[in-house]
Amino acid sequence: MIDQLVQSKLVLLGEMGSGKTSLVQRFVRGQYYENQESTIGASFFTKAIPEKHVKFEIWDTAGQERYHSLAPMYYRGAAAAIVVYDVTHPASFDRAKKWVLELRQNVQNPNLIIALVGNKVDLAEDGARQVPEADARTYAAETGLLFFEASAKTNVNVAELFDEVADRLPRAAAPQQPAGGIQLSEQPTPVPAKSSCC
Amino acid sequence: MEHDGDGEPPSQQQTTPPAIEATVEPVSTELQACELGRSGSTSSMSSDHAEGDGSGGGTASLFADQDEGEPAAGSQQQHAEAPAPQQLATLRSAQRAVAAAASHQLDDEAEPDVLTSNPKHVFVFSTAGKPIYSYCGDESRLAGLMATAEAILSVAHSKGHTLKHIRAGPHVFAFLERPPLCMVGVSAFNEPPAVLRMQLVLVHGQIVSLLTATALSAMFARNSGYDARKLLGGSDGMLSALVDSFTTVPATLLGAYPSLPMLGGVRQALATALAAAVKATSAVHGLVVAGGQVAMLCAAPGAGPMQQWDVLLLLNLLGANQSFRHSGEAMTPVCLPRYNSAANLHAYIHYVDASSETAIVLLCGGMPDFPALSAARQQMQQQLEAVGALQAVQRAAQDTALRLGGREFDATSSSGRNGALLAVLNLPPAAGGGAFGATPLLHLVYKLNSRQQYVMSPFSQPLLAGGMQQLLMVAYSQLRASMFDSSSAGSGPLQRLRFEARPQFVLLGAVSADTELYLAFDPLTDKEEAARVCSRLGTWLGCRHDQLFGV
Ligand SMILES: Nc1nc2c(ncn2[C@@H]2O[C@H](COP(=O)(O)OP(=O)(O)OP(=O)(O)O)[C@@H](O)[C@H]2O)c(=O)[nH]1
Ligand SMILES: [Mg+2]
Repeated sequence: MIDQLVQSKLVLLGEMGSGKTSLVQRFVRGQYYENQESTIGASFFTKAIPEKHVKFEIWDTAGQERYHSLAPMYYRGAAAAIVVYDVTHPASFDRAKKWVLELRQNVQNPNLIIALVGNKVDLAEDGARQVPEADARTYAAETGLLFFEASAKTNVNVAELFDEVADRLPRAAAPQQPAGGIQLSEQPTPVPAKSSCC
Repeated sequence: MEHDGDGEPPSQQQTTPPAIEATVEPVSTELQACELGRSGSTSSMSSDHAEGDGSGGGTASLFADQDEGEPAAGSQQQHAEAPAPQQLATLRSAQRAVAAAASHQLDDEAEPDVLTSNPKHVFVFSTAGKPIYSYCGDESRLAGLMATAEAILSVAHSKGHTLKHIRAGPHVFAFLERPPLCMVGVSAFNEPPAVLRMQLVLVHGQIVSLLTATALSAMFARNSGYDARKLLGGSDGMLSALVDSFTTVPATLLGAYPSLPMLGGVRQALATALAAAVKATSAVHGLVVAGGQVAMLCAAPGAGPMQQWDVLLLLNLLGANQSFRHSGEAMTPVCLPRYNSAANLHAYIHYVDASSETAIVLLCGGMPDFPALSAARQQMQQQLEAVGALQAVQRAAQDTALRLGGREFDATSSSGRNGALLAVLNLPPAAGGGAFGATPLLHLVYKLNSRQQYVMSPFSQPLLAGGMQQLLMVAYSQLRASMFDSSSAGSGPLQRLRFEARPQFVLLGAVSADTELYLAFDPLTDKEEAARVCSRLGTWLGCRHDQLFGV
């Protein structure tokens, strides 16, 4: 059984506090923490979807600015990237667009799947929404991204998101990274100084 | 590494940084005599306490002004040689300026709250005056205080002095300038100024650990008004956990990291497995940590041992960030300033058990090979679990858990920790062991200098009462400061044995060539009894270094 699973590397990117870890925790462990701690560096999780013959190797990266320069270590060689923003936080949507741009520029893989996720949609009902769904959907369509509005908290669209990503993976020719593989770059260890500071 | 050497802890055993180093700065001055009333009236300066330096003759008596009301057996009040006249004049004018600035500050209606609301403050600002971190209250509320600190520093600079600390009323202000950052510590606990400055060195080190010194300088070189809070974003909790630890564990005051006491065979098993993992992954260092203590530390051949200050920063990084505990495996860049302040290492972190906070950590230079790290860790874990070693570590940690990051440290829960090797209850009666009431001994701290490690007994009654641990830690730091002469780095203690009776407890410090033992007794204990327990306990501990300390 297990050996029929195709390993696929997936990376989550997005502004600090947008809910990347919460989405992963929900997907991998079915749990949600109100006081989810901010991620330091990056965390690694695995989760199989046997029906789809996929085993995701998930890098949940930290949104904090100072880790930005390390992101290439995690998205290089990825089969899919999930870019998360917070629907109540317009700046996080702008940040998401920047991540998409960076992925498009830096990732060679033409088959890279990018999913844009507007998280915390549970808060939209209270009138806290700041990013109209239509805007995000239009942007996603123009840019060729999968698009979901989701809630890690109320478990809306989380399974759907990962299922959809799994469906889009190239069938036989999934990228063959070693387990959790981080592609080694030729560059020296990036230091946070590279990140922009204006 | 940091090069200026100013107030830096000497790399090995001597841990109290000299407050005055004539060799480093043109003139280094301690301004200790500014007594500032809350009323704003500046009290007189006692110039015999104001010590100029520059003769290079080690004239400083850093602790000379401390604890005058303290009953101190064999206390050694040193008196500095009088500074040269023209130096004294400069010094006085600087003092006057400082006093004026500080009294103005304390007069301000809003600001005294900030100082009085908490006995301890630490704040960090950039040399351009931008607030970066504050232990208590948000940075903006402290803007006035920071401005004052800056003014004080610039006055001192303009006179060619480097200001290390001042006393103002009940507070000691300690300063540490590490451009582009400036750290200020304020304490109403009467902590020794050198200890306060060491705390600031660690706070600075923790910031460097997040960013690297190189990146930090580059950031401010591009834009001196740069708002570094953005890059430090979310790290306030970690810095605050570090500051908490200053008065909950003796690591900083001793300049040693906590070792997890364990039976000998366990440590050996850890050593073998960890060395194999380090070798397989080309890591530079590997650690097994549990309950905020180090169970085993292993350096790659040729890497040199990890310095205690770096270990403390790493322990705080682990302890203060829950996020590691709940992810299966984590990787994060971390800069260890003593190892290399210019570059990051990559830390691979895996929590074997979240409740006892038992984790395996591998530190790599260069690009990390995650699959290799993960595989080596798995193999190590399997090996150790097969022989029960990791389980033993977890048990030992649960018995003694002393988190370096103390915010969540729950003193009341430690009453149940009876399994600990060093619990007073478990010590042999001849060495002072026994239940509260049956023995005068309340607490012990034992440091092995050559390994930069310490162990201590878990807190038990009556030290579980609110504020007692803090009081005890500060008392230890004062006791130790009285025993060591800070002006002559490395030359050993002034006193080998020191007895101090305080209202809450009696303290005894005993220092030998390679060990330091600090004991707290109930307040009725007399000198002879304390000395008797100390000598027996010293012998008992001396025979058990293998169990108490890692290699
Ligand atoms: N209402 C609501 N809150 C959420 C949701 N998802 C996450 N949160 C909360 O948002 C906060 C941040 O969530 P995280 O999952 O830590 O965000 P992150 O993107 O991983 O943040 P970094 O690790 O700092 O980059 C936490 O307090 C979560 O409880 C959601 O769907 N709805
Ligand atoms: Mg996160």
